[in-house]
Amino acid sequence: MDQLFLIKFLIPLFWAISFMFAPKNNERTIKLLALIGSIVTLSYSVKMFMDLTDPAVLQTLLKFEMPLFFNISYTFAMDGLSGLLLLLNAFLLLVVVVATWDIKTEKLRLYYFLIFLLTWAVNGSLLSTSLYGFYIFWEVMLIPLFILVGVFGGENRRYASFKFFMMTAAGSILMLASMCFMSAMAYKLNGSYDLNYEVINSLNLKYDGFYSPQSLIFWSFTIAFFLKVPVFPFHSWLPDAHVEAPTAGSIILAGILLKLGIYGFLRFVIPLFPEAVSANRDIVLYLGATGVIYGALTAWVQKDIKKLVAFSSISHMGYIIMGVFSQNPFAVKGAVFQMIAHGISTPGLFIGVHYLYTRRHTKKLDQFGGLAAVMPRFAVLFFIITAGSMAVPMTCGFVGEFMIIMGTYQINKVVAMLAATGIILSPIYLLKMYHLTALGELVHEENKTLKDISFLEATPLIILSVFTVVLGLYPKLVMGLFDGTINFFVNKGL
Amino acid sequence: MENFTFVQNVLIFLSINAVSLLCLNLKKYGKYISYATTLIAAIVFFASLFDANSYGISDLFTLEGNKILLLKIVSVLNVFMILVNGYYSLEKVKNSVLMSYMFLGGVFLLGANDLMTFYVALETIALVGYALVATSGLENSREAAVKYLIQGSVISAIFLLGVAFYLGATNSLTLVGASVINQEFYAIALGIFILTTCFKLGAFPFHAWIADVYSNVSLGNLAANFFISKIIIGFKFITLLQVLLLECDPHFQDILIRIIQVVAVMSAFYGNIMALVQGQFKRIIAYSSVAHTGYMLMMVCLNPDDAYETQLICYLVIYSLTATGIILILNQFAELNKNQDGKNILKGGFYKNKALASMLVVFVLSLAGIPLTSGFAMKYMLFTNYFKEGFTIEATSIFISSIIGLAYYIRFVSDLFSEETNTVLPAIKTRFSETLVHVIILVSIFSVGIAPSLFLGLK
Repeated sequence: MDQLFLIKFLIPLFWAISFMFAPKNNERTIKLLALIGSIVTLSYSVKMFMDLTDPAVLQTLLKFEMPLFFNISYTFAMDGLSGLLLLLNAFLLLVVVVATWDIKTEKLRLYYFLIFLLTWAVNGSLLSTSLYGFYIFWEVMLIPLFILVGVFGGENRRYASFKFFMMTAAGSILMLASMCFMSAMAYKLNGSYDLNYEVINSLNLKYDGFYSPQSLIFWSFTIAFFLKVPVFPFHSWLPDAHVEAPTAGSIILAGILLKLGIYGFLRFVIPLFPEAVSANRDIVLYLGATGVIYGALTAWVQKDIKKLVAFSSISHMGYIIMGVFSQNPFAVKGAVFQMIAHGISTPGLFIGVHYLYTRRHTKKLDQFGGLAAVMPRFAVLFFIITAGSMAVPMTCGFVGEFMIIMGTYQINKVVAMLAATGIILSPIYLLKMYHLTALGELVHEENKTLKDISFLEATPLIILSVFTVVLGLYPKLVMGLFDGTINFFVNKGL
Repeated sequence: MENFTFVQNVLIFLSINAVSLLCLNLKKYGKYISYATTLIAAIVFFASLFDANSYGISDLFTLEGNKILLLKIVSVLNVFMILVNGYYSLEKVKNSVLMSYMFLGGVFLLGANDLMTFYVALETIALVGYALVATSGLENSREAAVKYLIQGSVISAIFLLGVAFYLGATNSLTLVGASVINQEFYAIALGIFILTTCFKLGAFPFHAWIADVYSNVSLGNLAANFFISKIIIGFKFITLLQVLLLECDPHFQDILIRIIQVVAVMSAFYGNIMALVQGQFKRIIAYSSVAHTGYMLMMVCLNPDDAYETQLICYLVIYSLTATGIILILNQFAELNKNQDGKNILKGGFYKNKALASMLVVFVLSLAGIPLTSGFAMKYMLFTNYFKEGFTIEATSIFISSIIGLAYYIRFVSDLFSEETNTVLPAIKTRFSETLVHVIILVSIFSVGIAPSLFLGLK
């Protein structure tokens, strides 16, 4: 057990609180405070990750009894999978702080407060191995994002934040209902409300058709996670949220929050409700494949660059959900890899969009074109990120998608073939996006005087581009970190 | 168990309050003297309960166990409400005096062991309730009070009819240990008591008065009305029905329980849906209270149990405290905006008073059932109990209805953080007593949210 874990874990929370006491009118101090906070968070996350002796095994970081909270035992634990996502979360925090360094708002303290609070809640969800803990942090993270979109978002921010909150919270309530049901069963069986792995397994939830307890609980969890991922047809909040959210919100949302739904499947649904997963596998696979095609086709027709990236997310998340539910270890590993790849490329695209928007104050694709001539640095870096997103070989996006399709093909050929069309569609819409922004003639007068990105602005894009290429060339760098965890799921549920 | 100390305490409380009432007529220092005496009466009464374990006056009236616990809680709340009302205006002092009488009615209702005491206590609370609505000073307050009075009177008459059936069924008016000799009459009596419960707690379809009363009463009066009537009436009716249902013939019992379940589920859905489409925050609170009545009405279907009773008390107290906190903060925003209607009173509230707005956010999120707040713990416990007792479909339905609830609760948060309005408003100044009450509510929300087992009697 890590004696200092609690302190490390609470750092983002304390940092968030510290913004309340920061000098109101000293923008520079507040931003520096945020930068230091994000570096500290990333440092301890790296340290925690390095301390993992065996990434295949859930390593307990802190365990304590909570006699006053329904008498449960609470465990914070980490394995390769959660560790990797923890790293991604901390890394994205730093990316957000650097990429939005130019933010101009009177509510800067509130802005950073919400971002750090969100990071803390995501960490809490990733490290909690009991359902209670996972649920608590899962709910807590809704509030800062709701306020972040609602206060710092675009014109229709109120509508978008409402929609995001309502849809994801509705899923949470379904999950809570199932937890109450399992708690009641656990109490009858053991005289305790605790809901950890062992207890849920001991409930012997039977699966014999749709109306059996395991099936109903599986679906309530699955809908909650579908809404978070989001999987077609539960996706309608995502484009609105992305379009209206400030860049920080979009980066965190696409980079890590969507992955928590997938993480929930891997951590809880697949190991705990294996029969229901097997029985409903094909439904989910088809939904995933539909999401891939639907997301890609819808992205293709978008005129708003941010909306295009949002729909591309739906398409990519379709692959991931397919991989996770394919019950093939190769595809599951591909799905986890794709989570990381998507967590690198999509935030990169949003950062690119942010730079364009701050210069031109529009997100309309037809307002750009030929930017490579005036913004060469931006054009190069944006191209690498775009290539990663469209799964060009030797970029990180390719590895995951390839593994998912290969793995799924062994299980369901039709689904794999349907999903493979996404490989054709993604270059179409992403190249269209790149072409309409960076290539061609400089038609609009306003674009001729645009300044290229500064070194500070380029930094996050450079880092993300490096990761895009390095992970594409040497995927084993991260693959080895969650191999053991996936094998655990293979033995448990798949 | 005869204990005349309690009678003595009640008489002292009553006498001091009578003095308060008379002092209201004094021209110069009337309101100060009246306020001081009301406060002293409330404090003295609370102090007299401090180490009490049980009280009894013949078979008509007994207070013991959880009832004493609840009485202590409500007494201290009474003191706080008087403090919050303050002595600044004659209206508010008048409300404090009226509230004390309502409290007294609550005390008798809580301990009532026979239907006559029960009826008189209930009417005392109702009469003061009418007065509080009528003296709110808003445009339609009197109209709302008259509506409330008429509907309340009809229900009282129906309740008396139920009492007659009960008498016919048991040959007695006592509520404890009466033997049933006519099951048909007994079932009718219970049906009527359920109807009365639904009206008094504002469950669907007897909720019509709630929205009228809530929207036409000043927020201060509403808060005062809220906690005493909701907590004591809720507790008494639910625990009473639990006990009375046990004596009922299984066939009738099954029908009555079905009726309660349908009413509970309908209330939850109706309250949540109606709250969603309201413009005024007062009406949102009114309809959300209909929904919450639905959540807790299901408790009637559980077998009487000490642990469930403790949980019910906790639910009622925390819900009422939180709702009272919300109403009080809304009141502060309304006073600032000179807008008692409360339609846009929260717009940009966070930028006018961060502390007050943050507290309102916590209170609202607690009602919505967000983890680490008391609302989550209570909801979790309540629904786990329903699942434990086999009410899976009903509990799931109510759960689904609560999804709708999130939409209007989050509206409070959204309004508070929305852009500042064009007119520049001064920052909200809060009195010490108000801040104290808000902090107490905040502490109780987090205490119950973080350590629910301590309050819910869980092992």
